[in-house]
Amino acid sequence: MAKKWYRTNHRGPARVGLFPRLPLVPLLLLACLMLLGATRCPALDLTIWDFPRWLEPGETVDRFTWMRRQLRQFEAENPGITVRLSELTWNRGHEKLKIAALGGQFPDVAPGTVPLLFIQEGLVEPVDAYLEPGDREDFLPGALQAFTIGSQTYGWPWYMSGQLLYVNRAFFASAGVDLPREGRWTTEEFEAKLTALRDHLKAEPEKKPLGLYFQKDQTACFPFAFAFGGDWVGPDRTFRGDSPETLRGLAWLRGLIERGIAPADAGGRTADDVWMAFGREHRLAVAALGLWAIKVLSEKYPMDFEVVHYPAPAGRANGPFLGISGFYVFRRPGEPERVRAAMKLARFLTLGARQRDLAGYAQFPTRRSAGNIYPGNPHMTRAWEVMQDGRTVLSDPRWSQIDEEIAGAVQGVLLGRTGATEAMRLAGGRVGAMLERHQGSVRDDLQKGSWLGTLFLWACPAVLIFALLSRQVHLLMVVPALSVLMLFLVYPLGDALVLAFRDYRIGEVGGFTLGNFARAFEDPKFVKACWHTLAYTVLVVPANVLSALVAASLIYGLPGRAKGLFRALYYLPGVASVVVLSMVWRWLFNTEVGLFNTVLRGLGLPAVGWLTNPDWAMGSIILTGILRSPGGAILIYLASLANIPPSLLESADLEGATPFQKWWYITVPLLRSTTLFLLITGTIDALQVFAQVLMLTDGGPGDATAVVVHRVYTAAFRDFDFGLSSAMALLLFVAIMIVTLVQRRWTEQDMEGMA
Amino acid sequence: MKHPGRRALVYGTLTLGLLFSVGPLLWMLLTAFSDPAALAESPPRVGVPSLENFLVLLKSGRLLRWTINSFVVAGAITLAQTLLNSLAAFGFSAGRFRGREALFMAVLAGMMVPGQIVMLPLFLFLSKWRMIDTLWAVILPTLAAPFGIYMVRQYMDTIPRSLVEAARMDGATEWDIYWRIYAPLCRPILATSGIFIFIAQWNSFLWPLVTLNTEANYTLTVGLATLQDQQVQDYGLLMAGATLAALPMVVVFLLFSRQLLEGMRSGAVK
Repeated sequence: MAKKWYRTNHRGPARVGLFPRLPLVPLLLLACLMLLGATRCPALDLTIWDFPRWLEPGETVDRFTWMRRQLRQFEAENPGITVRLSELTWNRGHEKLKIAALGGQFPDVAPGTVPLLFIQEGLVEPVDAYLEPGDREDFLPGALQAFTIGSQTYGWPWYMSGQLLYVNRAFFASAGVDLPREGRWTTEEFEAKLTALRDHLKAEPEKKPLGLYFQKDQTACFPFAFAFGGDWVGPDRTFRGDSPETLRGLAWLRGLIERGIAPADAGGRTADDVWMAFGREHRLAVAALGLWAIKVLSEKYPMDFEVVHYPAPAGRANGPFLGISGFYVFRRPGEPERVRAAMKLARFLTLGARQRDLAGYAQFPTRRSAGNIYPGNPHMTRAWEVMQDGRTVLSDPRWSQIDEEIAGAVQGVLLGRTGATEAMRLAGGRVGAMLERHQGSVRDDLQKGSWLGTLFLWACPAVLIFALLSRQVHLLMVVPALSVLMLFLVYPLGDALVLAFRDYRIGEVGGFTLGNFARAFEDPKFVKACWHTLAYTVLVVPANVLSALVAASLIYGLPGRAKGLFRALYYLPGVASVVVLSMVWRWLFNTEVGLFNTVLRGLGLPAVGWLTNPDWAMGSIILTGILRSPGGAILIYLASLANIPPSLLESADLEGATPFQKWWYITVPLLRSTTLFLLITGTIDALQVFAQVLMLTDGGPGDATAVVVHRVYTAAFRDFDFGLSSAMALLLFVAIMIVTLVQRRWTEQDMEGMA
Repeated sequence: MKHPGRRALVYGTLTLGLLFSVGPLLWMLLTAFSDPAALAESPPRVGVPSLENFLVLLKSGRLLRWTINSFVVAGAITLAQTLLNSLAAFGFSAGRFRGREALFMAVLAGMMVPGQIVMLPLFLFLSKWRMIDTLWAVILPTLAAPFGIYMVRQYMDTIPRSLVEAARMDGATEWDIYWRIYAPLCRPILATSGIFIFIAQWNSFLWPLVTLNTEANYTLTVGLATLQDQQVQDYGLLMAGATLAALPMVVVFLLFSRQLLEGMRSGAVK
């Protein structure tokens, strides 16, 4: 090497050159960017978030064209105001909105049903002062009522929808069973007609009379459980799931499944599954689905169908559950102009004239001035009639959690895992506790941060100053990376630790406690999640390492060309993300149209609910883990194999060892440290399994595929029980550390024994 | 390999293994290039050739935006990490300051922290800085990473110290030694770790999912998850999206497979 890179006239050895040329640039850049990010534009620039709506004529993918058009018109009518649209998704939009609101990054106008959580946190501006003359009379009373808490109304109702019961008329016709007259039937008639259908369908086992699903956020099948009266939570905010009426309804449903009227895995099915089976594959005669199905069944997947009432005992009505949706405006103290503009926008979007466009959305308007938007459509007319008996779920910020408890319990009942009485007693205990908690605001507290985190934060500049003062150039070189880790790993870790030891959940902010850990172990979902994660790790990690070992050993012995080819081919799937692979697996696993079940049906075998049957779902996820190509591990093994001196194997050859003996007695033991490394890193990864669970099943059905990180995620971002979430994450952290240490210690001993 | 039977067994086993690991990807390709109308039939017919899915997807233009975002995020992180990680690794490898090993162990301990534990506080921290829903929220927290530091240091430790001593004797500054001796010598491991980082960031999912709210800011993985939510039943479209998401990584792999595979041999594991 030439000498040109030396500064020859310099004397000091290590402690020189405190003015680096390149390396500190990113740090400075980072600081500048942070400052830039902190500044904001002061103009009247509104933000609205919205969910995907309907496809306008000519559109194939974009479900925001209507909204964009309205926003352009609004901007034209109101010069000086610009509106930015953020597009949400139905699955995670609500979650996102909550996260953003608690993080203080909320939009001006947001869509949805009454935002109880935000109202409780004092984040929502009441609309009463902004209603114009005639508005109050124009809105349907129920619509405004849905947004009213106490004496104030917190949103602009836009549309109304409901869950309806649909029948496929072809099933009834071919079985010679009459359709319910005027769409009304008693529970006895319902049972009799579906029993007749069942007998008719005996020859086709994948066809069933009734599709059922009890899933979080899905109210479509609630009316079945309430066929004999009953409710989950009464108007006096007490748990009613264990009332005789509700229990009777659940027992009745279980009976329908036992008699083969509904599929045996009904408890594990999702709304998507039931829609697929009913609407696409025509395997169900009766199913409860959202209002949207009318449009889809008339156009994209045509069917001879009819909307009917939910069955009720003679002389009684059993109404569907309604959803009233609209727009609400976030409070911005000190910015009255902005709030007024946001209110104007929300009102503009929900005007009667605009609500006529809801016909494209297959929803019902909430303003009288919109008029009947479905003249001449018999389905919508029937739907409107059915919805007259409609009701709504409990207005409570914890409804989502309550709903999850109930959905889990009902799934257990429908699957025959637990008796209705027992399941409801257990759910009642937890729901009761949720309802009892007093309410308060966590947001102010969240924004404060914690002293431990702050301590870590200040450690950064302290190290930097120390490094400069002591003129330790190597320490200085470590500082940029260390600052990043301090700021974005250690500091939040400190925060998380503090959270884990605090009573910190929505509606409750308390002091130091160890209760989060106790609650973690009492949380049945977390306990299940631990077992699932353990099973996943124990099965997937050794399988992956073993297959990598075998594959690498085989590839290593191949001639040059083939060796390179196989090495590359095995590594290739590893570069595809878990998200991509999970999407493919979901398609392969699909109960109705997936490849696996198509093959099974082709072989005359019964279809399997890969992801819908709770007995199979976790196994399916483990299967995806096992079948994932261990490309990285193969490469590492190949590298280690190259380091084995050939002389060792040659001497074995002389002694007449078979290739397998050579492999088993010489190669495998020599690869021990590599195997250990792969086992440890694999275990660490497997214990944190999450993305494929979120993509494939989202932890369901029930809690059949809950894993630890998924529970950590749901506890934080769905239940907003930050203390519990942090405690569970901390337990995972400790578990990972223990596993690593034990594995290392155990193998070290093993190696010493060998030596 | 002397026995043809044994050779057949080896190739057979390897091919069977490939079928399991590459199979899903082939199914993805097959579905993506299938006619949507045939896919909507009951039972769906897969394999009727058509480009319709890709055309529909590309027409909306969102995919391009997500791809660009993913490139920006993965590229920025790869560059920053390569620099910061190697600099820190050099500090740890060549330095003799007090508390060096303790500090290094602390960095290693950072590898064991599950990302999910810091997610919530980090989110709140970044929201204070008004960075939520910008690509910065995704880029900043991963400008340096313990694993990268570990990997590069392992490699640097194999460089003979006599080289450093000689350079110091000749009056080279530590920055010179880093930039002109260690950096060029470490090129293989830096290339390997760089490609790893790029692939990992391209595929990262949870953190972008939490921080990015606006569709225009999505990275490809988040966009795809969104697509899966929006087009629940349109598997042709979903598989086309998945194909387009996986494609750049396959290209990266084919371009850099030599560095990737060689670098792996030289330093990742001792």
